[in-house]
Amino acid sequence: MDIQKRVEGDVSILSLEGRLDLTSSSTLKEASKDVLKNESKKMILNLDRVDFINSSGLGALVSILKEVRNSQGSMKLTNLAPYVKEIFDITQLTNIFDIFPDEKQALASY
Amino acid sequence: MSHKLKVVFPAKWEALQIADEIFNAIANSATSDCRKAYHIRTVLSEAFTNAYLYGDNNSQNAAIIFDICFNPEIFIASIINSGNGFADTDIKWNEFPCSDEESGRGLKIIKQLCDKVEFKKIDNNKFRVYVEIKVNDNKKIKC
Repeated sequence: MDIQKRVEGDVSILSLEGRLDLTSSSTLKEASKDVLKNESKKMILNLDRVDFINSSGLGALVSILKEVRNSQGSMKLTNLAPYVKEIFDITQLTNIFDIFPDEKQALASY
Repeated sequence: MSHKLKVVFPAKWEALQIADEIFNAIANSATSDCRKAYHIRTVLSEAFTNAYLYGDNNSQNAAIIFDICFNPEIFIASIINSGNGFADTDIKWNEFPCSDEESGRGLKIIKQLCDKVEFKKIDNNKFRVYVEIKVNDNKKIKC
């Protein structure tokens, strides 16, 4: 998984590319930890270029969400591809995450 | 016309890295329906991950074996790994884990995406997951 980081105001945006599964979950968790510790408590994960997610990837996102909330921060997800969104739907995780169609709307919600 | 193939992966971390590319290729060969192909890829990935994480992989030769058969109507896979597995009745299939739990979703995703699923302990400390996915029951989505 490739992760590009940038900052908009006081929000860190991580753009993910590739598949989010057991092989990449630790990479994402480490990158998120780094952002929380050194950059911002407000985080957006842009999943536009995530072409595959499975339960291990979902577990990683849940783990990050817990960590963000424990740090009194907030995390939002954007740009979920339809098939990725379907996996969120069937696992009922759409109720747990703040999901936005794009970065602009996610940023506006802060 | 039916296609059959057998893929044997070592139950090792390194195999995880390439397995998804193989699953993706198989899924796209099995159907031109992108949504169904994604379901197939997901099911194979979840079965592999579950076998890798929870199987008895201590042996040097531990393997995860995929027997796959598909035709324009249906995709069938039988996934065998070492270990005792679990009893189908032990799992509350309609309940997904609470929001803060990081695991426990894989087998339920399989159940949701397949038309038929069987989990069975077979001889010699082996466990089998059998899945069927109908591939022509929805309107095809152009990739």
